[in-house]
Amino acid sequence: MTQQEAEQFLFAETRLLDQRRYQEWRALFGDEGVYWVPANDTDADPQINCSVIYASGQQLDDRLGRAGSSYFWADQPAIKSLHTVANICATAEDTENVLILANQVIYLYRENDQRREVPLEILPATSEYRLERVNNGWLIKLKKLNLLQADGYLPLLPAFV
Amino acid sequence: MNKPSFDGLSQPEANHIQLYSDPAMFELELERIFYSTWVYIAHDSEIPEIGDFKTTYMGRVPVVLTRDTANQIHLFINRCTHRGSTVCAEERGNRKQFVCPYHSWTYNLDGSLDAVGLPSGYNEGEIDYEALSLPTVARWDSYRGFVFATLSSIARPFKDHIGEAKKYIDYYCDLSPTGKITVGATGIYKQKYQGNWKIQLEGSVEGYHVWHTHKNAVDVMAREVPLMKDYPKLPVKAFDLGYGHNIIENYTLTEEQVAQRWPPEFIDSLISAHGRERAMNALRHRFNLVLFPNFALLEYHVRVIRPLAVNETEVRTYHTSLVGAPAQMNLRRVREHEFFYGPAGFGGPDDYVIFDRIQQGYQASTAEWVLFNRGYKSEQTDDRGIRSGQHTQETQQRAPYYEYRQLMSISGTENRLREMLPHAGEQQEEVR
Repeated sequence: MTQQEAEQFLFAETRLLDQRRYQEWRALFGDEGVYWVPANDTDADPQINCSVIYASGQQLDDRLGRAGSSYFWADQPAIKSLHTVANICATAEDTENVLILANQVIYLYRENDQRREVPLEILPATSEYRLERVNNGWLIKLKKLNLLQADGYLPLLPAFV
Repeated sequence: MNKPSFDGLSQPEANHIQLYSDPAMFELELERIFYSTWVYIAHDSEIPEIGDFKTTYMGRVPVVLTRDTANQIHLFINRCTHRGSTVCAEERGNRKQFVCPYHSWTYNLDGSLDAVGLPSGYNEGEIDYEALSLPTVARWDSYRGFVFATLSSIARPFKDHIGEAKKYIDYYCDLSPTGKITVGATGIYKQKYQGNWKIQLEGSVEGYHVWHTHKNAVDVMAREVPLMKDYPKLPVKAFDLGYGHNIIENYTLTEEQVAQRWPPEFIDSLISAHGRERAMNALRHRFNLVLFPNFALLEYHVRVIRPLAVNETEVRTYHTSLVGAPAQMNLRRVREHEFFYGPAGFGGPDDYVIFDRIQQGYQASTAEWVLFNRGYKSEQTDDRGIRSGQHTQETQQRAPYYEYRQLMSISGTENRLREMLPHAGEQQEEVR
């Protein structure tokens, strides 16, 4: 994967989130891919410590179900998101595996709210993607999103950040 | 500020919205509740090593919990006795001493004043080191590591205060084969909502909303715990434990269901550690326990409610881990806690957005009452005075306000003074 391909991959991946094309985004993870947003200490072991999200397989499917559920009250009215991705650095580990590091700034905003004035939420983060070549494309083995506020107050979040 | 008149605003079946929306009422609550009764501080597992500290709040009062070089726990007000700066700027950490940044007044882990900056500037008789230790709270005490404190010398004795709740804390801790748990070591979710603190107090034992608010989460949970499919019809109850404390049973397993829910090795390990009766109690009972005014104990976490303003509240959920339990079981407790209560979980965020919406609704000053009369007429009272109702009724929402009315009313203060007299001179108990 070239640097430019890595950039295009992240732009497309985060655009799927911003456009709420969650089924397509979910498909990037295949059966095994892990979507991880740590809480508190971003270096802590997710098999011992609680995360904001630690999901793969069925748990990602359950989250898709939540995204489409009329019982997702935290998302009513819906939270819009906008991701900007920068400082992208792709490193090929071998011909089949690539590691991408990138900084992200995620903006969240809720429109059509009875309160009329809702703060724009800003979530800066570093991120780590581990991709694996499958057939003609790439699957995400791990997406880890290290929020700058991982140990602080977090706003209400959409089903996928 | 004129103190609002409290009388009549809280009734057994309803509260006036002034209790949730009037800033003057909030100030009165700080004084008469958070600075008068026992409030939860921390669990001693949060400061396991000598020199460890944790800072937190009693109402607006910043406090620091330390473990000194003799392995003794101390609780101080985080305020230099000279000109008032906090002496500890962090949430948690490890120190040999606390040094005030203003004039280098330096305190030991036991609170004693060790040194001050430029001591020669004080003349004879101007500084009394012994009298200038860090300020302390009136009393603190603990049960199974849960530390509570009060700023008031007339609060009732701690062992009386938590009386009926003790057995539930035992059930909780005894699910650990060592009888020990850690609180927060495996994760702390830190959240705020734009609403009154009592909304979370009532909401921590809310059986009525589960089926309606959390339908999506219940569907997922029912895959693992099939009895969740029948949640509204479960034969479980809620209890008013007195002094504002209350509990809702989530499910109570039969011995047969215990065998289905837990691996046999784990059941055996608990029986050999605690004996059969204690072990079965721990295995059978799942509940949410509220200790008035700021503490709740839920299946996977300790919840701490911190009032910030009449319409703003911080809630921290400290994940609990069972010391000595199989790693796989603690891992499941991590994933299940995260699934429901995490900041992107399937349950907690929906509650917080509803708490925000409740506070918006409370701006309607012409709609004056908040109702919790569901099941009032069928409520049972046993021979010890414990009230109970069905879990989706509102016994547990009514419970805090018997204590609340006592604390908030002038006559309640007079009663407490009378209660206190037989206990004058009582010594603080050692931590168990």
